[in-house]
Amino acid sequence: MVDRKSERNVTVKHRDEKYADRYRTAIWQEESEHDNPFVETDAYCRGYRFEDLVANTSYAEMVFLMIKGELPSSSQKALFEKVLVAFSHPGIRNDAVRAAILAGVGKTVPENVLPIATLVFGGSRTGAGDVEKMMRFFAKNKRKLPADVLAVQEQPIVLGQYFGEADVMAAKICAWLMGDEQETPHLHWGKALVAEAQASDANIGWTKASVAAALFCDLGFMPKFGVGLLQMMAAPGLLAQGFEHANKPATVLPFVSDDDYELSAQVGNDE
Amino acid sequence: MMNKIEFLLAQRGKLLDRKGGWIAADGVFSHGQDLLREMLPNKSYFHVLVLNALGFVPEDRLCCWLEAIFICLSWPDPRIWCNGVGALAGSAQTTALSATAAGMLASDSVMYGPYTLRKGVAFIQASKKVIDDGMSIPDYINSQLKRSGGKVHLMGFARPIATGDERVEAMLEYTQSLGYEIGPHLQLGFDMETYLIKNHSESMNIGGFISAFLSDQGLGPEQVYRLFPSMVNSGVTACYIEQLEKPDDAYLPQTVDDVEYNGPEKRQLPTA
Repeated sequence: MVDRKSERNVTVKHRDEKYADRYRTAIWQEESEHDNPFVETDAYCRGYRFEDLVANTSYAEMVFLMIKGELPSSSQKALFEKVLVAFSHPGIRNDAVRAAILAGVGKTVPENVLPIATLVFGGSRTGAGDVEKMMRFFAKNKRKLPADVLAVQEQPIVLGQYFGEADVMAAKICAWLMGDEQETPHLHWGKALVAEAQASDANIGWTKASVAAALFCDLGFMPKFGVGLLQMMAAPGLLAQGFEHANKPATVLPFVSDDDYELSAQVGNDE
Repeated sequence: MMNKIEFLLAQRGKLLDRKGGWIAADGVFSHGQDLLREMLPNKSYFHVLVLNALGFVPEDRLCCWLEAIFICLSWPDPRIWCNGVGALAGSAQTTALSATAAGMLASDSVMYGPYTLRKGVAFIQASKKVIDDGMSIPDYINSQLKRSGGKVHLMGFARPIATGDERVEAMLEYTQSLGYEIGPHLQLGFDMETYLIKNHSESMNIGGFISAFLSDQGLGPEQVYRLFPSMVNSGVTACYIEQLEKPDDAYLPQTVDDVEYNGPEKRQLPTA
């Protein structure tokens, strides 16, 4: 073996990059009129006094303000409040909900139950994992004809199957939240894309995540917030399901018997 | 052939065709290995780690190598981002497990950690194909650098905060002591490094070393990623514990003025 060690001439040196002297934010401002400079006595969000926001704004408006920087218009507020409700429970058989239930019934310490479920809800197949990519897809393709898009990509990221078929509930959520063309343009375009795709394969359609992604585009959110937004929205359902039976014995859950547990034919040692 | 619905109905309430499991009267198995009767008396934890992640029992020296590389990958310094998460968890007085899990999740980053290993393996293997097809190393590197405006953003080369990586030297010496030869991917890595040192003052980082060495052992990107999800855990735990035992609020305390607000001026809520 060549002695690479003696050939290498590598020294370790700090890059001496310039780091910020303090953190900067455009979202939250704190003020102190206290003798203790660590204690804030007032706070502002995007310029609005926190106290006034607590007194006068809804949860939907507050989330919108923090993420977008401005309060929503009345139509945006109405849509966003519906979206928050529509995606507040991923469905009782969703992987993340089942993970919440397993953690709760498994007596996981309570502070871990919601993070566990939210992580699982970060999955790309049954959770929020692809929402950013989906939002970028809508933004990139919305001006094109759906047929032209499908000619290039047979199954774009915003289309999928649910247990082998088109997801009926996803399509219903889409219908429930559909506004006029100006209010929900991405949702309208997505509907046209689904219809075009279903002309050749009736078993593909919206996914719940792609409906959310289209709506996030319609609300003007940036794609980088998409995954986290949908995870945040699902938190109430994950929380409720995770703790519903958390005080019950583990026997409230089915347990696969040894008779129904099958090891595959022994896998050889590849050493 | 069963359709999708028939297949799913056949799976209800059953766990079929499993690679591993515990059969109460029989034992605990993974990929055909009896964990208690075969693995426990004869093998190390790293053998089992590889077995569970990749499905085979590796040779002993690869386990020694993996144990050594884990020492290189997790340090008790909270200035590293994942460790900082651990320290903040200590400040917040979470459990050790929450802190460590949070730090490990933070390490799934495009800048460092296991994710970069997956990219690093893909990069060195793709690079080898290009070089084997006849492109010169300078031409190849320069073509790659054009994509990043001339900056050395090659997965497995350069590193944040500092230039150079002392872990490569240490692991190279240990790798040699285990009797490993430099394989074609690691050789390519060093050849690329020689060009980068001379022309850009950048060198191979530990992720690049791991990626090239494990490529030479026949592993692919996803396999390597699956070996290292917990690679930062011990340093995160150390940072958590150290902060937990310090006085309250003492982790890089910030006065109100230590955070600069640069958003909109103060304003009144619109009237309805």
